[in-house]
Amino acid sequence: MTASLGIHIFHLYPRHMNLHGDAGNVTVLASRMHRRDFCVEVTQVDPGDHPDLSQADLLFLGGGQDQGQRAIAAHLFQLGEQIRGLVAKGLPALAVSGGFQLFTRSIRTMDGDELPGISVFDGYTVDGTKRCVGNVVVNAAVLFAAYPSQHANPAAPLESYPHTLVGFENHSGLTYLQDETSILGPVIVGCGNKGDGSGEGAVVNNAIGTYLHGPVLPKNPHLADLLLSAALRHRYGSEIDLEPLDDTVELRAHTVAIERAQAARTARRLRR
Amino acid sequence: MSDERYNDRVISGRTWAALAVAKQAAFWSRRLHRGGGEALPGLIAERLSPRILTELTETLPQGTVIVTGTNGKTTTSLAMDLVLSAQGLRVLRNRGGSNLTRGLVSALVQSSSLVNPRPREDIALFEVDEATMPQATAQVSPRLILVTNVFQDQLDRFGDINTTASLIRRGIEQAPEAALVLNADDPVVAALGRDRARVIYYGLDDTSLHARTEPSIDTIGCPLCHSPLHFERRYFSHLGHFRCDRCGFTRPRPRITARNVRLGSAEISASVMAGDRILPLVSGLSGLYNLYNLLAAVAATEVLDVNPKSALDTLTTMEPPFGRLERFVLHGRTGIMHLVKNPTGFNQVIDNVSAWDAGPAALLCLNDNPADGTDVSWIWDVDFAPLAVSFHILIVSGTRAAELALRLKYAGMPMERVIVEPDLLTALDSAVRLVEESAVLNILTTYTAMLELRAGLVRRGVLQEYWR
Ligand SMILES: [Zn+2]
Repeated sequence: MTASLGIHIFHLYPRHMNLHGDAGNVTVLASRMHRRDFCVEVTQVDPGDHPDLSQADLLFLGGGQDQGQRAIAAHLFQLGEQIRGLVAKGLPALAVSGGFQLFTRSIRTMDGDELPGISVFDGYTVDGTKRCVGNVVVNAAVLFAAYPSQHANPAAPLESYPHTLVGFENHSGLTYLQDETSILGPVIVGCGNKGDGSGEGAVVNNAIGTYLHGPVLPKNPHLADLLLSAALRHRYGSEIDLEPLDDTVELRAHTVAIERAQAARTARRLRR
Repeated sequence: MSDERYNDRVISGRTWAALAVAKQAAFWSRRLHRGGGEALPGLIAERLSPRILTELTETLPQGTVIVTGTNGKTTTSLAMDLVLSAQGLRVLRNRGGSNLTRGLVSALVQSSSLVNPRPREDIALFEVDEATMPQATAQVSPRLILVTNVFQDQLDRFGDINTTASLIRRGIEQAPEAALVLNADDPVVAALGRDRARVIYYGLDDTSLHARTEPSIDTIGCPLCHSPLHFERRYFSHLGHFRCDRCGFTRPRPRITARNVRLGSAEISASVMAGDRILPLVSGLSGLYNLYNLLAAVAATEVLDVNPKSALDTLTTMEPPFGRLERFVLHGRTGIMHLVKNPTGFNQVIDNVSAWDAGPAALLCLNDNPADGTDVSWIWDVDFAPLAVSFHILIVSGTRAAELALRLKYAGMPMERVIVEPDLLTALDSAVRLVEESAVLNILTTYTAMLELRAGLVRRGVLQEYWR
């Protein structure tokens, strides 16, 4: 692979929205590109900045508490229209937890305050009565079936990667999507968007929202590659193969996370 | 020396005799490994000399402090102990949860000798159960009483909140000269400060924190007129910013307060306002209740002339004491277990072990049981790079060994130099074999993995069981 190819990642509000090591997601994206000899540029966006989002090939927004969300909501709202336009044209984005909530239409906090979101995902978020805390396993088979291109390389056949996504959720906000089919996938273990164990996350074009942290990408390398493929496609307008990487360690951590999630669920049921 | 005036305090012959017998009892109770070894000498001494508690505490040059309330007594006392000790004071505490008056006497008995019956410490720090307060202040004249909170006790030992509050109130009324340090956010506690000359309040002032659930059994009315309280903000249970619309009773203004609170899985940071100063608080403890305990300790030690900045500096390094650092010898190698539970502490331990003559291997253990924190994402906030440089091989173990291996991969550690062995004792044996004889094996472990390693080492006779 020639070293002149690369992508430009815009990391939104890293100082306000970085709970649970979410910045590790950007490290993973960059590392997976560097190991394949692509260049990666990362631009951090803070409130008050005037970022040129037309240069972006991938957006990342991490999780944050109410405090962080309040500090950035107004600035993000100003960028909202442009982000929606770019997502419609295929710009990939990953928004985690509190960031995911801001990618919906609005967030109603416990006070009854309403924070405006940027409506990348058609839905809204309200404060729930209980906190959803625990390991999550999501069946994302539909997502990966819809994006087969990342597995175009015969050295990394679809079969070698799981169809699951794993992570940890910790949220009291509940997210209701207008179109229930736009979820990332049905929940196997955990609470998910509505706290009822039905669906997790949201997908619109190449933009993904999720309550999974952990951070989410190290243990889900197939999700990272899906975003990176889309980023290259957005940048160059054509498919560029991603060489397979040795993901033995990643997939072992993925498997153990599933086992621990199932063990915790069993323990909870026994206690009842 | 201010000690002079205490020299006139005479220890009566009766108390001296009681001490002698109680010390004998303490010795035999330890020898015979009897349960309740802490309370027995106190019980005997109290019987033989009913004034023993009064006589012995009066000899302390810096007097006596009482910490009471439903939750947080031990953590708050430990925090105060650390702060006062850092100032060079010798602190006498009643340990082991024996906080009836005979537990206080036991602590004093252990600390005094027959040649010089006066306790060797400068100040006594007593945890006292709410129900024991009237007894305690009948015998001791504290210079300071700290009340943490009053909740419905899960064991229902004392009855409802109002009963508990009235016991504390009786205890306080018997000590009119004592300064009070009170939680401003607890209406029941705050009400104890009315009509008192010296009261210092502490509380939270953070607009981003809210209770996530409605209070259940702890729903309380106004402590003065019993009408419903209005909460402008509620942090948890009935702690918050309250106001009674009927009688006007309202949350007092705290002298020590915290803003910009950030709670991690095992970490607290905040800005502490102490008068007109803003000071950073960083702690390896977790939970809002521990933030209250830390603020309580800062407020109380300020009354004892420690400036809040020094107190907060000392408290930064505070950790729960059990299992913090432990050495053992296995197959001729010395193992050192370091308890890690949050990124800050983990980074400190990593810096520490990497700076030493590190040796060829280290063992890292990560469990994700509830006592460790089920969310392991905190390890992504730890900087593992120094380990990758200092150690040739890293053995990872525990329920989340695989996650640690992945984390090390991103810290630049080549995977050929990482051994994944989820079983803790198997991992320990492999690790020990990689270390030369007479060299040191560093073990960085989370709480339940530490307990499991300890249990295995106890079975092998390498470590002794904790005698708590
Ligand atoms: Zn009232």
